[in-house]
Amino acid sequence: MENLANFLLGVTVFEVVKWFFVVGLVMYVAFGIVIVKQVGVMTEAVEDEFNGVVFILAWAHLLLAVGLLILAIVVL
Amino acid sequence: MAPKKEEEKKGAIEGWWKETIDKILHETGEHPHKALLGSYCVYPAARFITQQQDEEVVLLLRAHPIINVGWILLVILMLLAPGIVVSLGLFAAVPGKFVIVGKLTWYLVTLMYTMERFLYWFYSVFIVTNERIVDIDFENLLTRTITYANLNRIEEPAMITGGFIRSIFQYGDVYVTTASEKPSVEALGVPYPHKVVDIISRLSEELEKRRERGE
Repeated sequence: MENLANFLLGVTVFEVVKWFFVVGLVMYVAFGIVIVKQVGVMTEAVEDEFNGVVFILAWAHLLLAVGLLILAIVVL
Repeated sequence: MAPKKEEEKKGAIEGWWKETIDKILHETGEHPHKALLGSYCVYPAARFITQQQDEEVVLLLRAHPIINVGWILLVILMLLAPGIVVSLGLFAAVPGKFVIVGKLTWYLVTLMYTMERFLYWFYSVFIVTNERIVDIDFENLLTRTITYANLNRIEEPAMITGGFIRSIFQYGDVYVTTASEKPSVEALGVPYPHKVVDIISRLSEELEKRRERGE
């Protein structure tokens, strides 16, 4: 009990902010996956020469989100 | 022999349609081309979901690009915001690594917002084929609404335009009422609505003539 109290008292504001960032970015990565799915649904509806670029953008966005999540865990 | 005859008949119908589409485009002063960043495509090579084998896309329309100006300005503002906020010293007490990760997160959210708006615009299309009208709309992340109206079942296509911006950039709304109980098919903010209505009317008329001839 004392250990827990000491731990909680030792937690700084920025540590809390860090985990807010991490949780937020985990949700964001999930959203990035939804966007990739969404692009799949959209490109299936209309075939266009631009579809490939849209796919690359959606995947790039997801990879950036994953990269930022890792950065937040490592750097903060 | 039967499959050969069937093929010949199919070929004749395709040939008739090609001639008819060419004639209609010529009469309306159109030619196969893409204009206004792909928001007005005449006789494009594009295909869409549920397109039948003998179906030709005559018009592929999106909302006029000018409609996107509002969110593009917002994106520019979003891109400038972190620089302004940091230069005002609002985050002076925050450690540098938090500011960097915060900025990167903000830019990523901006990218996501840009993509979302672009995707809604680009993939919400109104298609006129030689047989029907297809309206594909995306309402939210994964919800797709597709409305069809057969050209031989439409009542009167109508358009609404007006207002300063719409007149200058020549865009408006096209409504096609069907004979069925289904609500009308609509294309909002599409370029050259008068031409769209004209082409739909002519295609419908040709289809009706062909039906009367019993072909």
